[in-house]
This record gives sequence, structure tokens and C-alpha cells, in this order.
Amino acid sequence: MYFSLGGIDVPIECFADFEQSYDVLTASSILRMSDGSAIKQTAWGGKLKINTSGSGWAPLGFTGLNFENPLLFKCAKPRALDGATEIITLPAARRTDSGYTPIGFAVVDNELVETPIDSLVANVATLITVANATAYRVHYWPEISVFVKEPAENWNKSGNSHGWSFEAEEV
Amino acid sequence: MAFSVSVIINAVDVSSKIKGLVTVKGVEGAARIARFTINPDAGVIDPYSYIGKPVTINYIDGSSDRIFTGIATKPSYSIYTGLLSFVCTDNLQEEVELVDRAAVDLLLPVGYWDKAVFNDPTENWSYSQQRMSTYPGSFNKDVNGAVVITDWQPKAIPDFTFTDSTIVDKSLDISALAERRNITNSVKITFQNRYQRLWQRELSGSWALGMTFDAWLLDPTDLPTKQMVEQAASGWTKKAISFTDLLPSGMYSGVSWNLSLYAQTLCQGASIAVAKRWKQNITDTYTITVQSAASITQHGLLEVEQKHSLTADDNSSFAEFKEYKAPTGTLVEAGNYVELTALSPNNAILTAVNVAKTKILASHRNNRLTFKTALDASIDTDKTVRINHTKVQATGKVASVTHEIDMTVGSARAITTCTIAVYSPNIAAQTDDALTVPTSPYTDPSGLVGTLPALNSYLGNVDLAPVEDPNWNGFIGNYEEWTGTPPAPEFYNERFSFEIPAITDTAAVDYAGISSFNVAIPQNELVVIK
Repeated sequence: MYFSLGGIDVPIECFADFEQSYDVLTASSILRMSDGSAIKQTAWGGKLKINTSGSGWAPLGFTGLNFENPLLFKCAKPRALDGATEIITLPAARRTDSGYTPIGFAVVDNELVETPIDSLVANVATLITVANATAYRVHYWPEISVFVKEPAENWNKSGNSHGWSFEAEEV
Repeated sequence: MAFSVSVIINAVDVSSKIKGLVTVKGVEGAARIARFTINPDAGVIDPYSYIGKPVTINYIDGSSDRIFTGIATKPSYSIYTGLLSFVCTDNLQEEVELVDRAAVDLLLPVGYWDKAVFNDPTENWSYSQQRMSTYPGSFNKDVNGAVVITDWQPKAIPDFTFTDSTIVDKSLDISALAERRNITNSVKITFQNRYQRLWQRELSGSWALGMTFDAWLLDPTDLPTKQMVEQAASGWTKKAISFTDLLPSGMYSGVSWNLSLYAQTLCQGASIAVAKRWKQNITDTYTITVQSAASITQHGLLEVEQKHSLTADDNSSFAEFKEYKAPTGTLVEAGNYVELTALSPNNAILTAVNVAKTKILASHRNNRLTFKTALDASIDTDKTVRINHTKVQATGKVASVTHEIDMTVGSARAITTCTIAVYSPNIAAQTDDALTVPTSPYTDPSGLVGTLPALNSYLGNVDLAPVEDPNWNGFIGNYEEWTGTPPAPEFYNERFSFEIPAITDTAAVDYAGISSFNVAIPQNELVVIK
């Protein structure tokens, strides 16, 4: 399963082509003072706005979902979380299904070197240390509750291509 | 810097439902107004149920600071957007409207009030505004809803100083400086204290025939009856009249005298006391100039006039005087008593001069400087703020403050717009006269008539009797037998009469006094550099 929304796993025929982007929604502004100095004012932030689009040989198939309610979105694009040490606290809202569990890396000579996650207890991942590592990171796949505007769909007859896109915002 | 806002309506926290801008605006002398919009839960909406419900708003930026305490006054719901908007007030007006006037005086223990200067309003709000018009300060509720009175005069040490690093770029506006036509630097007060002087004049005199009884028996003359004497004083109220009777029957200088019944109605002398009461209208006119010499030098004379009056007429039965009554007034000169119906004008005059002074001071603090800064919940209309900007240095009391909080993506901000009021002109060595009640211009009357004219006896039918004069005062009669030598006896018309001096003190009298007070315009810093 690549990605799912509201419990519907999207079959692979639906997304021969696939693209997903994350925006971070933040109610924030930078206030400039008379001497040019800046103050950043933030009311809230950190909410993901996810644009997902793709095309394939079959239609998307979300038509039965109730878009008035929050839906659980298992995302396909991973996010990275960096840490100076091998201990990194992950967000709870992440995928745990097979193939999408977090993956650990060490940064050695400015290159990523995969290293197993030794333990993952209550969102705290402890990676197996790597010699000469300057930093560590974990890739994880967000699994969050979102509001979704009903997807737009199209079909191209000559290529039998079903295109679709939808926009999701973290609840 | 992370910020947020907490809005609680009737003990329900609606912070998470806030949509768009939250504003709280406080202006000196007026109720603080808050506006915000919420996105209510789906279901039945009853905007009316929110009216009058308590509302508090806190700005949260590390700490949680109250910026508004009041009630919802006008909820409005849009069926198309599904949003419920609120206008809330700190209810400053009701604070004074719902209590009695004595309680208002306790809330506003400043200034003066007198109904000779103000109309007597039924509404306490108007009353409170009248009272505040005599005091150079403003009346507000603070963010917690407590009544505060703040002097217009900025504090010597400002509560806050804002600099280039705390004033938002391009937000400093000094365009709202005082306009000359809005300045008042002289107030000419004409205060008339109108009242009545209640007069009681008592005149007395005496008449005697001018010969002994024996001499009269030997060469008798007419004598006035007692009734003639009493009638002569008509028009006045009889206080006391006594008579010198003819002597009892007997032998006098060898002449037998019989005191007949008729003779008993006659008199050979009388003592007469009469009195009169009347009212006289008096006006004490105080012309008082309250002005700022420093401002007149700077701007020229910009004068307005204030006219007030206090009237106290006599409504008693003072002038009913058929029967003599003792005088109620004080003796100002022999036989003349006056009583004044005047009410004390002192409080009214103090009220009027303080209205004038406050008017002058108010017009000299119309210099308004406005700037924005990152929201600072402690800026309020009771604070003194100094602007220490590269191009402007100024110190003044906060005249208005607006907090704006928006938590929407794209327009998120938490800003305070602050306006300060700065006095000008800044001129050293001004005199600030204490406002006192000028000395009353009233003086007691003088040069008054205090006695009846001399009452003499004029007897005709005698040689060398002068030609009769109708203006004679006293008894005018004749000898019974002509005893002189030719050419001819002069006969007079027998009468007892006298001319009581006319009452001339009835015309209204105007006393006038002139005084002036100087008002010092407080010296506030206001420097602008290009």
C-alpha cells in the first residue's frame, strides 16, 4: 500500500504517476521596526497542507468518503527529522505500517549512511551509533488527520489516463 | 514569539473558535470596545442569548495579560458565513447610570458641579461628563473593569519609552497636531448672581405744639385730632404713635379748663414711628477672565465666552406688611434694615472657572502622536508614554490605545496602536494661578433716609404769619382770635400733614467685579528633527 485516505488504500493502477508536496501552514508575520530590526510574531504553526496528485489507468476511487469529517491520511512522501545525537524524538502522527516504518541514518563525511533504529520507545528512536558520525536523522511518513476537499479528476482518452488531485489540510 | 488570544464569553472559552481579527479599543473618557468574530458550533444559534453576558479577553504571549473586561452588547450572526460577530463594551456608562448621584460623586471625587453652570441632567452619564469637564483628567475603566481617573498631565517619569527598535517602521504619525482654530486660550466668564434685597425702613419723628399748655389756654389755637395725625402717615405701616394729651380739667394760670370729650380727641404733641417694606432686585456681575498668557503670545487671542447666572428671588410673604413686624435684616444705616436672598455663588463660580481652565487645557493637548508597536497589553489610557525616535521625541499621556490580534494565515499579527496627547506650547515660567472665588462686588447701601422730616407747627391768624406753604410738614392751624395789628391776618387751612420721603431704592442695582486667572500649559516634550 502506497498511500491511503480515510481507510481506502489506493491501488497501484491509480497512480502510475504520483506527486505529493508538503506546505507548512503558519499564522506568522515578521514585523519590521523603525531601525530595521525584525520581530517574528507567530500565532500558531506546524500544520501540514498536503497537495497530492497523480494519474493512472484507473480512477482514484475516493467518492464514497465523507469529506465533512476528518480523514486519516497515510502519506507517501517521507519527512526527515535531524538530530545531533542518535536519540531523536519522532512525531506520534507517523505511519507504522510495514514498509513505512521510520528509517535511521547517520551523517558521515556529509553523506547519509543507513543505520538501524535500535529501539523505538514512546516515539523516542535510538539509532545504532556509527563511527565518525556528525549527526543522525530519521525518515518517517506522516499519518495525520486531515480535512480534504473532494478530489478533482480527469480522463484523457488517447492515453487512457485518469488524472486526479486533492488538497488536504491537517486538522 | 508565539502569541494567542483567550476569549471567554459567559464563562465559556471560545478562543479556539475565533475567526479573523480581534480588536480592543480604549479611548480616554469613553467605554472600551472589543470586537471579534467566532465560528460557532453547528446547530441552533441564538445571538440574543449573548447580550449582556460577561466577556474577558486575554492576550497570551508568554504570560496571559488581560486586555478587556466587559459585556457583549451587540452580537450579530451571518447566515451566509455562519459567523457570529460581537461588539463588547466595558460598560463605563452603566457604571454611573445604575447608581445614585451620591455614588457617582464617590466614583468621581474630582472636579466641581453646580446647577447654575450646568443644566441638571436626569442621566448620571451626562452628570459625570459635566463633572469631568471641570477636571483636567479622564475617566475610564481599566482592563479589569475598575474605574480610574487619570490626570492629563503626563507623569514626570514615563511608564514606557518606545524607541526605533520598538516602534513599527513607518507607523509613527505626528500629523495630528493642534489646529489653531481648535485652540481656546482665553475664556471670558460672565457670572451673574441675581437676588433680592429685602428692605425695611423705619422712620420716626415727633411734633409738639410749641407752647406751654398755660400759654395755649391764654391764647388758644387749633389743635389736631389724634385721628388727623394717624391719617397723615397713611401709605406706611404704623409702628408706634403716641400723643401728648391735653391736661386734665383744672385751673391753669387762673383759667378754668374743662377737658371735654372732644378735647380728649385732641393732642398737643405726637411721637410718630412708621415703617415700610419693599424688594429691590440686585445683580452681582463677576467678569472673570481665565486665560493662558503663554498661549496668547504664541497663537494670538482665541477667546470664548461663558455666561452663567444664579437667581434667588424671595418667595416669602415678606412684603405683606399691614401689621408692623420687626425687621429681619441687618441694620445698615439708621432706620434701614436689609436682608439679602442671595445664595452663595462660590461653588458655581468655582465650577465655572474650572470649566474654563479645563477647556483651555483640553484645547492645548490636541497634539496627537500615533505609533504602532508589537502588542503590549500594559499600554493603557492611564499610562504616560515617551517616544524616543531618531526623528521625534515626545512625552504624553496615552489618549487612545488599540490592540489588534489576528491569527489568520497571511495576516497574523499582534499590534498595539498607541496615540499620545502632548501639551503645547512648551513655554517656561508660566504662572498657574490658584482658582479662587473673587471677592463679591456687593456693597451695602449708604446715604439713606433714616428719619421723618422735622414736624413743626404753623399757626395763622396772627400778625406777620407767613404765606401758607403747601409743603409744610407738621400741624398747620390758626389762632382762634386775631391778636395782631393790621394789615391782615393770614388764615391757613387746618391740617396735619407731612411728606414722607419717597422710596427711591427700588431700581435694580448692578454691582460689578473684574478678576482674572492665568493657566499654565504643562510643559511636555515635543521635538521633531529632520
